[in-house]
Amino acid sequence: MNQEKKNKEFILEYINAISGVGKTRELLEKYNGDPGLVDTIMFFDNVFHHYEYHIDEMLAEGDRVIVRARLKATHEAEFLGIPATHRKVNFSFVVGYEIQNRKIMHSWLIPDYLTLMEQLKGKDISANSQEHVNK
Amino acid sequence: MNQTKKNKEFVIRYFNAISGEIKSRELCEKYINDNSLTEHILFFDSVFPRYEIFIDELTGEGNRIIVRSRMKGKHKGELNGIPPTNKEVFFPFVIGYEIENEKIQSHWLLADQMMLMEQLGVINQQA
Repeated sequence: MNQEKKNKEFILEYINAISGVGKTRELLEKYNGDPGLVDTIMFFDNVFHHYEYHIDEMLAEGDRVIVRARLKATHEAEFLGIPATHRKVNFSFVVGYEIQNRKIMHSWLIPDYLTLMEQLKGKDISANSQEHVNK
Repeated sequence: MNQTKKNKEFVIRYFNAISGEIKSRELCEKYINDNSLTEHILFFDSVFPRYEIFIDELTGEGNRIIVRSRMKGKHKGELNGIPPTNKEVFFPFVIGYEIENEKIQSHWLLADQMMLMEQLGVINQQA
């Protein structure tokens, strides 16, 4: 099996392991050797308890895997100065992973913050404000 | 040469052709067969005239390419109700393309809007 396929399977395993459950440091460190990413995930899991991670697209090349996905959850703690609204959110993000020996060693992340902020203000989440996403 | 490599070379050629230039419909349509993308570029070029784009990472598979990049421009036109600030912006974005016959057929786009808003002075983000 080639490297790209192995890395994709690893990332699928990782996403299935963390989606919809409490993301403890112990769980995350099984897959993550990138402390910044562990902290980011724990922060988001506190704000959006047990958030679900849904994959829309996955590309792999060499030691890198890029995932376009959506985060689905309820807003349960302060985020960027906005206290818990208990509103449901569903917004896109793109994350890039660099993988070595079945561990994520580096990552980058771009969330669709504008859509998230609109949803926290009560905009209908069935309407996607990211109007340039055309698929 | 395999398809992914060809598509990457196409994307590099396309970025070089539009970065720092006036992005006319004619120029865009040489590379793009996705009107929503052309409209988006024309709009952004009216807000940030002759904006530059820089590739940080290219990833390809089959007919798809994902580009992690940065955009640099000067805010000269109204953006979502924000009047021109003349401020320089420089922020990351990620764009995914579906490419067929040396043309972009569809796309998706996510930009670091928080950094953009911060650079325009619209929000004051805590570190």
